[in-house]
Order: sequence, then C-alpha cells, then structure tokens
Amino acid sequence: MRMYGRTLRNGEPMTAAEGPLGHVTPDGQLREDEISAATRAQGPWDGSRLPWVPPVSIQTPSDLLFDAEFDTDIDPVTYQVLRYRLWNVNLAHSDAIKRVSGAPYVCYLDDFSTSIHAENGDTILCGPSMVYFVGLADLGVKWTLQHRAGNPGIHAGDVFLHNDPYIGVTHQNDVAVFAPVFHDGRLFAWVYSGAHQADVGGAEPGSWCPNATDMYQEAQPWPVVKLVDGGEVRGDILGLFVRHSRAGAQVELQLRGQLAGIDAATRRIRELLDEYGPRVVKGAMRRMVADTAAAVARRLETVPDGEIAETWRMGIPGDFARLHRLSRTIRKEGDLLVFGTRGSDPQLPKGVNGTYATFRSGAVVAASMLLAWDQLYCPAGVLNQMRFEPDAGTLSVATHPGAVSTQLFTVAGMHLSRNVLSRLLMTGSDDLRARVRAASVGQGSTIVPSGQGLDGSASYANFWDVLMGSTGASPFDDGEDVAGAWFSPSSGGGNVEEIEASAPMLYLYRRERADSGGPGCFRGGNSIEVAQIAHKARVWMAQPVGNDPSINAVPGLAGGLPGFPGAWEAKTASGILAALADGRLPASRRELESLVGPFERLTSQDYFICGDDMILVLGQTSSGGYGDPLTRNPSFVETDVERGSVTAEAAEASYAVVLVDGRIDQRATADLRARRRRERLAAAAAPVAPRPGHVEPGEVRRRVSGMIDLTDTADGPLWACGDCGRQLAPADENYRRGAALLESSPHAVRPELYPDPEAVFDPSVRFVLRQWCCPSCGVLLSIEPAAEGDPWLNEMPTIRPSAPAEVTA
Amino acid sequence: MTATFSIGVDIGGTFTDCVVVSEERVVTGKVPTTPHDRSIGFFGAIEDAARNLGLSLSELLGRTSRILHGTTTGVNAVVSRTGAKVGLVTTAGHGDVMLMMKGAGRTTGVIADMVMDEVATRRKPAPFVTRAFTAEIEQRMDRDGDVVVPLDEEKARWKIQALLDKGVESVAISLLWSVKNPEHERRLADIVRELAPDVFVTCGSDLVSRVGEFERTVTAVFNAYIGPLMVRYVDAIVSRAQELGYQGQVLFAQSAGGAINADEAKVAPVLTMQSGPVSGVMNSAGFGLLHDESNIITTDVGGTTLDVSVIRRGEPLMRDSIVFDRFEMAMPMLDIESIGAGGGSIAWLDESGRLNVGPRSAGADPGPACYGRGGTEPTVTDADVALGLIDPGSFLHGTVTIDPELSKAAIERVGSKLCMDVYATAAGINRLVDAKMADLIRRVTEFRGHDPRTFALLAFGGGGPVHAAAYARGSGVRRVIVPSPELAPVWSAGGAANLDIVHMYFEPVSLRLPTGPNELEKRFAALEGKARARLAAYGFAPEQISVARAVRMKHTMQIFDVEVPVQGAIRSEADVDQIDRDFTAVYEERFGHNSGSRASGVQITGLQLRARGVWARHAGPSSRGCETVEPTWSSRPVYWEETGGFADTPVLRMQERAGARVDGTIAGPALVEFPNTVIVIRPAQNGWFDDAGNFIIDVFPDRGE
Repeated sequence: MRMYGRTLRNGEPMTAAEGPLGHVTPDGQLREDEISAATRAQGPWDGSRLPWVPPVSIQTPSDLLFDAEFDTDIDPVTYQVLRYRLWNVNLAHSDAIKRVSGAPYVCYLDDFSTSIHAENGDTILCGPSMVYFVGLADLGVKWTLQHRAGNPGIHAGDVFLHNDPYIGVTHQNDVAVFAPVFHDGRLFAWVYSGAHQADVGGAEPGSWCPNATDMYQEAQPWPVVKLVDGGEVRGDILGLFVRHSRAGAQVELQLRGQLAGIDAATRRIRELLDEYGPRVVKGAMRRMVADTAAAVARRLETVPDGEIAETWRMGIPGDFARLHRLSRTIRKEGDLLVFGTRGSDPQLPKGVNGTYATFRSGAVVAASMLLAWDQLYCPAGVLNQMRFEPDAGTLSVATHPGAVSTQLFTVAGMHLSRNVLSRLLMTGSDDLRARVRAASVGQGSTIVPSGQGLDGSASYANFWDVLMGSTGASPFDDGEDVAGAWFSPSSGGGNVEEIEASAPMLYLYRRERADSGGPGCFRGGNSIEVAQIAHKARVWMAQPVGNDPSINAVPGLAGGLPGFPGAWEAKTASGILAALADGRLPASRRELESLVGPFERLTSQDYFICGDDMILVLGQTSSGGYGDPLTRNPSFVETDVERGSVTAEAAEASYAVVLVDGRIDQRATADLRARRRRERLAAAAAPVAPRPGHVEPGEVRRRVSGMIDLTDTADGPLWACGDCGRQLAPADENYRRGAALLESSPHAVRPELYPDPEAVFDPSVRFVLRQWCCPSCGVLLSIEPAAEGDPWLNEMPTIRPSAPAEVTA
Repeated sequence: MTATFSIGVDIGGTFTDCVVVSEERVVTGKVPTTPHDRSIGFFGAIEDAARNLGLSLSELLGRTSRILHGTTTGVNAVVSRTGAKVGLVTTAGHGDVMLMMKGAGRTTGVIADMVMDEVATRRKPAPFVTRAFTAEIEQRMDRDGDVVVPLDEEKARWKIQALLDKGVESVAISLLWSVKNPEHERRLADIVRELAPDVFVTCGSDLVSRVGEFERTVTAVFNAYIGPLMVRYVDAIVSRAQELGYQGQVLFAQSAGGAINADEAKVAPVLTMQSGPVSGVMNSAGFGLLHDESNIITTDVGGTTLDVSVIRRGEPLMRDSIVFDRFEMAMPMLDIESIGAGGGSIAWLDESGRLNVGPRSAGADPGPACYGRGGTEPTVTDADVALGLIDPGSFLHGTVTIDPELSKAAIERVGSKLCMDVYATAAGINRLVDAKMADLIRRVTEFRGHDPRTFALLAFGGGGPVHAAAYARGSGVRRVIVPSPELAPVWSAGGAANLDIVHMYFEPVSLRLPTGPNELEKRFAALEGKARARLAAYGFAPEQISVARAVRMKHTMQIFDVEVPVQGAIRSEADVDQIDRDFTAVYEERFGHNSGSRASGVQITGLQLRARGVWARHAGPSSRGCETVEPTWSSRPVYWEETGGFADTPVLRMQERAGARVDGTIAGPALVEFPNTVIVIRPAQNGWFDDAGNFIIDVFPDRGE
C-alpha cells in the first residue's frame, strides 16, 4: 500500500508542487487536513460511526495507477476553450439523465447534479442544477478510492453507486452514480451524478421517515457498491436496489438515465483527451482550481478577521413545541474560512438530523455563491480556502445510526450557513456586499395532496408552490417578490392549470401575499398564498411534509425584520361551495376570511381527509428584510402600496409611513418615525456596557452593516451607530454590549407576520425577537429570533486587535 | 415582359434586405433600417432592388404577384418596451400570474452558462402589466371546461370600464381554463368591444390552445402590447403598396415556418414576433428539398447572435414556446436556439484574467472598433480584420469604412494583459467564439438525439461563411454548404420570398391508449375541415392545400411529450396501433434506446394539424445550373492559427452575379471573396463550387466518407 496524495506516479514521490489537485494551495503548498488534528484524533472518521472525512492522504493499492501529470504552461485561449468544454460535459451529462429518465423530480425540479472530478476525487466542476450537491460529491469518490480500490477494485468500465449519508449524500433518496475515466490504463478523472429518487424504501412512502428513531427504520443506506462491472450492469445489484423501492420501475428508469449520463460524460472527456492530451486537460483543471481559490482568497482579504456565530431555534415534525438549537460558526483567518457547528443540540431520535456531508456542503454552496460567483462551479477551489470544525453527535453532524431522511436540519443548515456567511461578508467590499441576501424560502415545508378523481384514478398533486419562492433583501436593494428558490435557480412553481389537470382539486387563488416579505430599509421579497379545495374528487387527502412553516427561520439582516415564516390553515364546513355557485370567488386570504370566517392552524403530520367543503389555506415562507424599516425611503413604501405589494396598514405599522389618499404625509411620517424610536428606547433595557461618547464623521472607516460603522478613534477601533455616531463598543468586543435591547414576542411586533409563540411552542420556552437599538437615537441595529435566556451571539465579526483589518472599499 | 416576381423583405437591426425572385433571376436590395418608421426602409429596399433590375418601384410592384415580409417590428417593441398600455382581464384570484412568472422569472431562458454567475444578483424583468392595470373577474372554469363560478357580466362590465378609464390602449383577456371553454373570454371580449370599439382586444384562447395559464397569458399580453402598433404598421405597408400599384397580397412571415395574410397579422401579430430567423430556416429547408439534403443544421451568424436550428428528414424541428426577456410565450414555432456570439461580440478579460468573448455585443452602434465610431473594445469582426480574413476595402459592399489599425489597437489592449501579441490574441478571440458556436451546435443536435456528423451544415448571415469552417470542425460536422454565396448574407429575405401559407392547429386531449379510432378521426376531421376552409378563402385550390396530422404523446409517468406524425385517416384499431409503434420509435430516437416507461401507460395529450397553402413558386435560377466563369485569383497575408503565423493566402474574387461559379477544388487555406461576405477555407480543408453555384467545404478531407 502506498500513500495516495504523495505517490501517484510509478511509486515515485511527487514534490509538493505536483501534489494532487486541490490538495495544494495555488502557490504549491500541500494542503492541510480539512478538519483539525484534535478533531481528527476523535476517532476514525470513516463513515462507520463517525461520518467520513477524507484525510489528506488516501491509501490505494499499487496496481491502481493514476494519471496526475499536467502542463503548467497552457496558453490562455486553450485554457478557456477547455474550461467551457468541461462545462459542456456536465450539460451533456445532465441532458442524458433528463432525457432517458423523463422523471418529474429531475426534469421539473432539477433535483439532481452532475460533476467532474480529478483523479483523486476533488470536484473540479459542477453542472448548473440543484446546488445543494455541490459540496459533497467528492466525498463519495474519495471514500471509494480509500475503501474500494482494493476490493472490488476500480477499473475501466466500472460504475459505482451509493446513497450513504454518512459517506456523502444528503439523504438516502439522493442516489449517487459515478465512474472512473481511465486513460491508457491510468485513472485520469471521475464523472458523477446525484439524483433524487421518488422512493428508496423505508417506513414511509417517499422514504421521508420523520418518526424513525434511528437509521435502521429508514430506507437502507447503501455504502459504495459496483453497479457496473467492466461495462456490464450487475443484475444482482440492480435488482437488489430496485427491490427496495415502492416505485421500482421509476427507480430503474432513473438509474438508466444516470448511467446514460455517465456514458455521455465519459465519451466527452475521452474526446478532450484525444484532442488535447491528458497533460493539457489536467492542467486546465488544475488552473480552474487555482483561479477559484485565488478569487476566493482575494475576496476574503477585504473582510476583517474575526469570529461570528448564529443559532436558529427550530421545532421538528410531530413535535413542534420543543425547540432545538441549530448553530453555525465561522472563524475567518486571513484567506481562510473555518466553519463550525458549535452550539448545536445533540442529535435526535428522529429522521431529522444533518450529517458532516451536508454541513460541509451547505458551507461550500454558500461560499461558492457568495465568493466564487464568476468561476462557474468549482468546489475544489472553494474548499481550498475552507476548513471545518464538526461537532459529532449533534443534530448538525450526527453519528451513525442517527436518522436523517427528512433532511430537516440539513436544509436548514444550508440556509443558516448562507446566512452566517452573509453576515460576515457584509463587512467586506461592496462587491461582496452586493451578493449578500437575507434568508428566504425556508425548509420547503409544504402540503402534498393526493386522492382519487371521480373516475377512481389515483393522483398526486405536485407540491411546486414552495418553489415559487422569493429572495431576501440586500444591503443595496429589495428582495424580489415571488422569484424562485435561491438554491435551485432554474426551477419554478409551474402553472395552476397543470396542477389541476393532474389532480381533482381547484385553486381558489394563487397570488403574491402582500406584506409577507420581512420589513426593512430594504424589504424582503413577498411569497405566495394559495387556497385549495377538492373538486370532482372521490376522496381527497393532504399530508403536511417537513416542518410546521410557522416556525421557519427567515431572519433579516442588520436590523431588518424576519419574513413571514409561512402558515398552514384550514376551514372545514366552510360553505365555500355555495358561495362559488352563487358567483362569489374570494381572491385572497383576506377576502376568503371575510367570507367564511377565521381558519384553524394545521400542525399535524398525518394525512387528513379534505371534505368537499374544506378549504386548505397555505402561506409560503417568504424572506427577510435588511436594515431598520423606519429608515426605509418613504417613497419606496408609497410605491409598494401603489403596486399592491405592501398594504396601507403595513405601511404605517411596519414602516411608520403615513399615507393620505395614497400619498406620503411627510410631516406626519417624520413625527411618527421619531415617536417609534422614542418608544423603542423607552421599552428597551439599557446597554450592559454603555459608552457615552460619539465618534466624529472623519473617524468612520467604513459602514459594515445596516447602521453600524467601524471607526478608528483615539481609543482604537470602535463600533459606532451609523445614524448618530454613538459609540457602541471596542471592535474586539461584541457591539451589542453597548446597544439597548428590546425583547418582545414576535407576535407583538407584527401579529399578521409572526405566529403567537404561546400558541405554537412549549410554554416553558419563551420565544422572543431581540431587537438591539442605538441607545441614543433608537435606530435598529440588529434583530435576532431567540429563546429567552439564550446567550448573545456575535452577529458581526469581533475584530481582533492583533490583526487589525485594513479594509479596502 | 410578362415575367412576374415575388419579393421577400427582411428588416434587421441594421439593414433592411430585399430579395426579388423570378424565373430568370434573383436580385437583391439593401438599405439601412429606418427605426422611426420601418415602412420607409421596406419600400427603400424594394426600390433598390428595382433599380438593379432597371425598373422603377411601381413598375416592379405592378409586376409582382406576392410580397412576403419578415418583420421585427413586434419583437423590437417588446425588447425596447415601446408597446401599448395593456389592460389584463383575468380570473379572480389569479391576477398576479404575469407578475409571479411561475417563480422562475429570474432565470427563464437564461443560458445555463450564465445562471450561476448572477444567481445572487439577477432580478426579474419589469412587468408588462401591473396590478393597477389588471381586472380580476369573478368567474371560474375547471379542467373540463365546466363552469364552477358563473360570469357576472354586470360586475365585469364595471371592472372593464374602470380599466378603460385608466387609458389602456389594448386589452388582453386570459382566463383559467379558457382553453377548454372560451365562452367567458368571448363574452368579455364582446363587452370590451361594446364599451370601446377602437381598443385592440385579444383573447388567450384565440392564440394558444395549450394548457398552462402563464404562457397563454404572456402570449395574449404580448399580442395586446404590440397589437396597436402592428395594426398601424401593416396598414401603412398595405396601403402604400396599393398606392404604388401593387395588386397582390402582402403576407407576413410567422414563427411556425410559413406566412399569414395581413388581416391575420393584425389580429395575431404575436405570430410574427420570431419570424426573422424563421425565413432563413425555411429557405434552408427549401434548399434541402431542391438539393436532396434532408438533414441540415442551419447556422445564421449575425452581428449579435448565432441562430442554430435542425432540419431532420426535410422538416425543421419545432418547439412549443419561446422566451422574450424571460417571459415565456406559448406558440408552435421553429426550434431555433441562439447565443450571444456574432461579429459584434466583445472580447474582454474577467476578474481572474481570463479571456472571454460575448455575450455583450458592440451592435451597430458603436459597432466594432474598426468602424471608427467610438468603439474601443475588440470584437470578433476586429479579430477577423486583424487576421486578414476580411478585406477592409470591400467590407459590406464598401458601405462601411474599416480601419484595421483601430482593430489592432483594441485587440492589443486586451492581449497585452495576457502577454500575447495582437495576432495571437485575435486568433484566440476567434478560437473562443468558434468553440462557443461549436458547443451550441452540439447541444442543439445531440441534446435532441441527433449526431451532428450525419448532418450538412448550412452557413449564412454575414458572418456564417467566415466562421463556418471553424465551428463545423469544432462540432464534428463534415460538410459545410454556403448556399448561393452571394445570397447567403440575405438568406432570410430570400426565404421570405418563398414562404407558403401555414396555419397551425392544436387541440388538447387526454386519451389513454388503447383507444378506439373513431374519436381521433372525428376530431381530426373537424380540425381539417376548419383548416381547408380557411385556406380556400385565400384562393388556394384543393390540390394546393396540404394537411399534416400529428398527435402529441407521452408516457404517463414521464414528462416529455413528442410529436408523432399520423399518416392519413385513422380508420381501424390497426391505425391506432401504428401510431403507438411510431411513438416508441420517435421517443427512442429523441431520448435514447429503452428510455420510455411503457409500464406506466401511454397517452395522447393533443392533436396537431399543420395546414399549408402552397404557392406556385419561382424556383429562381439556382435550379437551372449556373454560369462557370474564369477565376480571378490574388493573394494576401492571412494569419492562420493552425500554423501559428501569417501565410500568403490565395484569394478568389467572385463578381456580384447570382449563380456564377468556378471549376476545380480549392485547397485551404484560402479565401473566396464576394462583395458582401467571404468564405474561409481553413488549412487542411478543401472547398469547391457545386454545379448550382453553392460553395461546399469538406471539413475533414483526411477522414474520407
């Protein structure tokens, strides 16, 4: 056995500069382990109990030869041509999967991914589909190199399959199919796809098993098996895999699609090798990684060093009342980002936990979007600038056999990673700030209706409403109303007619929900609301899937309020059928409520039967705002009201804008805004460490977030209020120590937007919105949803005095 | 002097082209496009052609039997947002359909290469209709077309009046499920006409018969948006033509690959929106028929974009929708894919120091740096000039003055940052843009189940002949045809001159197989009756009318539906079985062997009919061979990337006369120059004129057949 990563060519040791791709920094240093030595020492991170975390060196048997040589002097044009040829390999790979499978998950929802890997498994380039798979595809390939190269061996014509969350998929439904690409007997690269399968077994149809106490009650996770051996599909393995599914024919077809994709991608890579030779192609791959790593590093240099953390409190299916802590931390050191999970609660005996793969992938997705937007999708380059601090045994990084199938904390963790990274990058250059957006869309909570039409034919409605989405506010502009889900940029919510054609149901309305976007200086995008009734149905049922949306976390940024989290409501014996026959068609939740009376909240996870006269009223999760809503330009509010995106009531309640006949009353607005600020200060607790002084305008180094400035004073760098100059705290301390704190029930802040915690959560936990204000002028600095008694977190990086950041604008 | 002509006019962004065809000859006219009033350029181009024939404008028109026109007036109004103030009338509870854009408004139609780049910052386009201009009407149909909520006409009248009071210039009516029961839409249209007889009004169900309210509403709104100005435009052209003594019909190219008459164009102007590239594709299909080429990839390289389409077994591939500014519109149309790669595409360096070309274009203004109109960024045309491919003296008939020094200076600014000299940089720009074009050609063929190596590639548009040899090589295509090279740059106008009348019909159904023949036949017969009557009204005799039936079919559990041609009447179970077998064959050709999931069942989702009224056409001279002339050779230094330097390259100069050819095979590298384009033969390729005067390039002569 030899050490992979150091000896790749004929047993000759490679120099550091020639080390395998992605394991070196662009200047040729051998890359470190992605976890710390102390974490590594906790045990074998091999996927058996602790999840798989690939080591720097992977051991492979000596008869597996690698083709790792590369040219460093590729001309810039060839490099670019190859870069786009490789991009087209993934497009061809995706296209083959779609065409052969013809499956709705793959074709409509884009719930799959394709990627190209270097010989050592590093992900060189991902295709443009579900971005969630971007940061974990390499894990399965590397595990295969470590654990399968000896037995059953890795040979030309082989294709492997796995869906083991402790190795590297999101949950068992996401099945990875991947193959080595050999050149002249040497392993040159890998091609890979991961795709959502409709059902892979387990206790529940669809394989989401919220009540599984461990993984043995969920769908079988398959560690890596050889599905195709030297070009021949292994019937025994295929049969075994298909047999586990309630939708075997579909599973087989989709696997065939993935195999067709592997063929297409392999053929394309061979063409490149024939045309350019392996040294040039590998050289282009290496340079893509180096370019991406350099871009990320360069951008990170505009951000001050420091630490930052964020915790979301969330209920789980079947047990909404108890709140669990999901945490992410980031330590930013020079050109490196260290993501952690410290503060997360212990893993739960429910099918909701996240794994190392999903923790890591969520972070890589966030970093790719926010720091490497112009590099196509090159995860190895992004990973080059990242390290991880997993806390095993938590709901962020569960250990085997913790159950994971519903992906609750997996998806939430992805949103949270993006949020916490966004907060960090708000302190960076405007180029980074422009890409920061408050949270949106949430966990994808939805209701899946199914039943039978009058002719007895079974049908399932598609649950695409959730993908209508919206985007969060940014430091420079509003979020976008009904604008899709950020993590699946190419999919959408489909047509009402298409959904009604497939199911015995009727939409009373499907429209943008005014006021649902989180209020802020820039507001979050509005989400949609729908109401459905059974129509021409013999039997019609509905099953809530995922979390109760009313506890979705969609926080705002920099004092922006959270968005509407979503709501499931219903009304039985509503009298709606008579109203319709009478020519009345309520066109929004508001009109519906005035017609049939108030609705009941739905929290059950069970199927329920929708009687003929029952109405389901669904509000989708929206997105957070940015900055104090009292600082929003009143004319924007006026326009929003004119456009119907914000109601006149909300204009006054959320933004303190007084409209008379739709036009701003400037005087009344100014008075009301001043009064609101005074009311805040009157109700707020005084700062724990007040600094009475003010900074001079000339001392401001730069605006870092909403209304917080980083300043250079005679006392050293300080945080100060950007509105009035009031000093808050030294820059190496949490600025919140110098801010006034107002804690109130979210329901009290805006009852229409946020549910009453008393009605939703365990009364032993008091759920609050913490609102930090400037103690002088009362402007909102930040808002944090939390449970009373939770420790304060660092919303902003605390700047270390040892490493004062020179920030360039 | 009884010869009659047909005239095709194609209005592009920069130039308006005209092609006049008779039995004896083909003559072209070209004038700058007149954006403030495109009808001026329209008649200007015809007058230019008339001059070339030695006739006056009215003399030519007096002897013309048909004028066919591909217009970008509608699409320009959409792109520049200069259409009418539209009011939208829709079902209560669904008035946000145009604003929500199915949640996909940030990325619909955005090429995959660019989705990620701007995933965080990309916004939705501005709406064409706001809520204030939307009237939500209490009424509702269900999926069977049954009334769930009756229409209250009095309330509706009040709401429509409120819209009219806001000054809307046209009204789009689009209700849920109107495709199954258009009754309410028709009633509402009557009400609009009653209240405001002069306002343009259009119903979704009259334009689109497919399920999907968003695309249907977009189509109706776009129709209303361009309606008033298209009515004015069509009227202006028709009345001016009549004033000039023209007695025939003015016909308008439409997106499904044919033409419609002026009255139809005024009712459904949206059909003309994608007609520019359509004429070029249909001309290619006609070319294929004439020259026995049934599998063709068409490539039209303009200033800003490359348009690619596939003709398979003589029929252009079709699609069901098109995206304008991220709004998806439903209509049967030729399947043409575009990317931002053309002569005006700009070369630039990204933040990581990588060289990129396009999609941004210098357009006509300022145009490439070499135009000397203030453009400082290098374009593909600048690269062509710097490399010696384009002769600065004779570019575009000499109508544009080219300064090669400006090209070189612009290229050098980019190249110096890459430590590359000006010529290596220029060659690099070309390699990149050619690779991009080759990638698109592979996507358009392979992603539809076709192998580009089995197709001939037709190159036209100003830049097609210049770059085809390179992008054909990159995509594996073996044979390039530059059809009638002196006409290639005006290929679209030439296509317009020969367009047949085409009407498309679609009826959505949901029939699971096996099904009896009677239901299908009855519905088809009804559609056919309608289609024949409409064409008879044009004056077509029964033998001039051809009707092609097809069904749309899918596997129940899979999402793709495909078009399956139906031969003749459906009389027996055996005929239905044949359709089923054909479905499998069509499906597998497109999606791969064993890709269909028959276990879940097979269903027919729609009936489709394409009715064609076929003109007695002027074949033009190219069908009758052409004149062989003595070659006029010269040479000039041209930079060839394959050999990494300049080589004195033979240049064959052709006169401006349709149908001239020279004998013999020309070994690359070589250039064949025409007054308005140049054919580039790359090193190690061969080219020659065929008997009809088309130019053929053998891309890989080493590979043999």
